[in-house]
Amino acid sequence: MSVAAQAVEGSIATGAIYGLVGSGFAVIFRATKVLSFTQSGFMLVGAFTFYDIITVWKLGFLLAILISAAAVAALSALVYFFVFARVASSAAFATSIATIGLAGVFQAIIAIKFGTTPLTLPLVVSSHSYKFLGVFVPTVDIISTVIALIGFALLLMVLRFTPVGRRMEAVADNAPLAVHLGVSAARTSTAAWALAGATAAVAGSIFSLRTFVVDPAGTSNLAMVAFPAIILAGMDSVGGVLLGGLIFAGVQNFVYIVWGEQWVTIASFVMMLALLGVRPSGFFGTPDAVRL
Amino acid sequence: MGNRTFRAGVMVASAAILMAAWVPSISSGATAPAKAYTWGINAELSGPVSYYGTQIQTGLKAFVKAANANVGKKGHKTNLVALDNQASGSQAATNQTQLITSNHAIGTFGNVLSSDCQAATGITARYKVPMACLSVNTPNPWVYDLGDNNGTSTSADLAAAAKVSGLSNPKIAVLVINTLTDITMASDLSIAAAAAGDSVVSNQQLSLSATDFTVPVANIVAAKPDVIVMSALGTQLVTIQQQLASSGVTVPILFVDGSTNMPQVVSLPSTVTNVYPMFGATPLIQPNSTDKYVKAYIKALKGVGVVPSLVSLNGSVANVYLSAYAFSLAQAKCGSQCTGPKMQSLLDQTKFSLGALVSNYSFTPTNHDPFSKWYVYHLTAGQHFTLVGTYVARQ
Repeated sequence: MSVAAQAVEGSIATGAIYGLVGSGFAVIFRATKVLSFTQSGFMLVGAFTFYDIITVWKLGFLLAILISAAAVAALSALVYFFVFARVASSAAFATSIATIGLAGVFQAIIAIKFGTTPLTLPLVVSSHSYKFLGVFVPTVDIISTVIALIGFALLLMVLRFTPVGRRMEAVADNAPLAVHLGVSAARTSTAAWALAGATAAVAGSIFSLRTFVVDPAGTSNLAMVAFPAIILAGMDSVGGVLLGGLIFAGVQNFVYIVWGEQWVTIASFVMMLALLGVRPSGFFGTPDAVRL
Repeated sequence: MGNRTFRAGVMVASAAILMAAWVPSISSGATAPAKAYTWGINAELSGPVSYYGTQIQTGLKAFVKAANANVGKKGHKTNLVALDNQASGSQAATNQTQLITSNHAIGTFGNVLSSDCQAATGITARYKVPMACLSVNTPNPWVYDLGDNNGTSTSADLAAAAKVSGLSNPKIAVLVINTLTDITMASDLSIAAAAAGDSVVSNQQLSLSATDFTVPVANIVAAKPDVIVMSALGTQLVTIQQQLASSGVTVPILFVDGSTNMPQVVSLPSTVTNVYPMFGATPLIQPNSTDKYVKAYIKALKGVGVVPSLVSLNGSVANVYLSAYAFSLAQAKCGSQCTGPKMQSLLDQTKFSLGALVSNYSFTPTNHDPFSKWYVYHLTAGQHFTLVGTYVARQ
């Protein structure tokens, strides 16, 4: 088995999860210009809801992911409606800072309810691996990648083909004009938060599925680990973050193989900073053009 | 301003100062007698290793509550002050300063990560206050090992590797997290393996926040080892064991951090039979033990709401309980509010055994690792542990 070929398999599975994590950030950023760090809290809530449904309700993992996504979407919409809609008039920067605080609140609530000990998931997916061109492809990697891609496709379809999605696109393209034409910014933002909440819950759930563990620290940390992927794609490019996630996961594994683990974090953030230097809006983001 | 106004002002100011002096004395008096000792907890109570930090907090609380209940009205009670170092070296140093200078702690416990322990070492040495760390990489006269010292596992690792693989010179894959202690352990293990005629076919590090284990797992699969020596988070053990198994690798895994990761160890699927948890401090503590010291330990934990189980009794909780016992023995000889070189000297003479809980726990001026043995168990059927061997711990 070639280590490099196996790394490609792992990069696809990890990159798809990074992409899904990033899509939630991008959806909210497009609709509200706010970088919402609450996504890490929603991933945590989603992962633990997923765990509870599997272990307490004894439902299958697919149903557990769907219920978790629906529950966190509702929670996310409520959070926007009752908290952030009230502070939306303030600077986006201040709101972003407030989202960090809210993520901390969710972490604290999860710690009170479930403790700080990582919980092991029961084996809900076969541990069998398929061998393809000398590469082991675990069943769980296939399932998590397919779920991530389906989630991603559904998100893009909602944005492209539904009225609420088109309203979100309108606000993202030109918010004052969209509002002038009768689009409710509050409703659009609430819908964006709900969609982002759902993606976070799915990402948290499949990350747990893939690692066999629901880890409070690891799950909320995933949002930060995936952040360079979002910068790589561009903050407002929902479609681009999937590619950003795949590239970023590939770079991480490449660096590990060539230079070792100690260079992975350094290389990731150097890549992010270098890109910001030459292309601040990322590969697929919309550059802010100013007419002089 | 007239004299009368000035005198009235002075009286009001004096009353305010007296009030200010009186209020804290009342509030501190309500929780702490005048001559109470203060112990500090400077640990990772949040972040990726918070599980271990909170275990330290629980074990120390249990010991202190039980001890305070036994000292009577005239004895010196102990207060605990806990600060979260957030898995950050700079915060660990700040906390250590605050605990010693502000809270007047005469001993501190915690620091799961060796890097955090190292960051606080300079402070504790400057103020001459003993500090117990879960992970110690660089020995210091003021720093005491609180838990399993992976650096002493090398000979046990090699002996156990030969035993569980059934080979006299097995091919070993080493996988450790990138902490100072573990990096040193991996390096020492490579040297010792070469000297013993064993071969280390893969030597890799993991980040604490790693999200993808594909490459380390692929490297191990490609190296075709006879046995894997692993020191990592419990969550990483679960993920990597599963990924290795699905790649067809089911060679024995010696898990050096067995005792401190019991929640994940005992939650491995019951079909897993290739994991060998290692215990570098106490042997496995059973909830149904009839040993009087174990029973006293369980009673103390129950006092702070812990339900006895394999998970709750083993690991950092037990390690810090023993550390606190050692500190309290030295403290009792040293006297009220004693710290500094006298306390250090007494700690360095500490030696005790507590039945089935621990044997030959001892500090000396040149060795602050109190544990002398490594216990290697074979995990089967979920929670069944069979002792494979007991090995001498060596620096």
